[in-house]
Amino acid sequence: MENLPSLLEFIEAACRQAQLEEEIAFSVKLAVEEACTNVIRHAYPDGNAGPLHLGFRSDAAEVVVTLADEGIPFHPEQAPAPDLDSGWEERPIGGLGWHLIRQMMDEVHHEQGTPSGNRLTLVKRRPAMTRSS
Amino acid sequence: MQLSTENVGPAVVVRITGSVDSLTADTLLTALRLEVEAGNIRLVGDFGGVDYTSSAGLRALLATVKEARQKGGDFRLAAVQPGVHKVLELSGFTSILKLYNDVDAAVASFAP
Repeated sequence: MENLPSLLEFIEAACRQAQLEEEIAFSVKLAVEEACTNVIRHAYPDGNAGPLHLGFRSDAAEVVVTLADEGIPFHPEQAPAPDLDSGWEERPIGGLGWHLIRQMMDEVHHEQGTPSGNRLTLVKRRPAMTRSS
Repeated sequence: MQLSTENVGPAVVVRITGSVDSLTADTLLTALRLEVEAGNIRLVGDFGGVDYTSSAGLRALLATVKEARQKGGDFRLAAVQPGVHKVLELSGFTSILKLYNDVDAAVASFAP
């Protein structure tokens, strides 16, 4: 977890440099935080350290973030559906990370890394530019 | 993230500024828990200065709501900004948390 601040700073700086719309930057930062904490907790459990490569590219149409680790493979499609409806007494604490990633991003692709680990690609489309000329 | 606490009428207002994320949520939860344990169970979270939250922040909010309500009180949010509101909505939190437009309205909601 001690590297999380630098990962979040990297993504914030990249969003600023790309001059992303505020709402798009919010979504990207949130999805990246959820994905990074997921890798830190599940790909490298028990406080074990391991590499996490974070990539960012953007153009006028979209933002693409990639996360590559060499840890234990995970299967996002097997993440249990979140409980969004029960009352406060029954509502479980936690379990919203993947839900938020899927809600905030337009595309989420997960594949097994080569030779090991996970490769996650997050795509967020930017609003169509309005041109005045 | 910065925190400050103030007694306002029947409630304790916790003013939160900055990001409530994986790095700061534990600090927030600890501060809120101390209030509940001290008997300050009518809590208002002033979210006017919170520009970001993630699922880590949601965990702290839900844990506080549960602890306060179990003691007969509540943790109510005021002045939630649009980005954070969207996260609350997507997570189904708007159906269990009580939200108010401003701190005054949230404090007034605790008046007997």
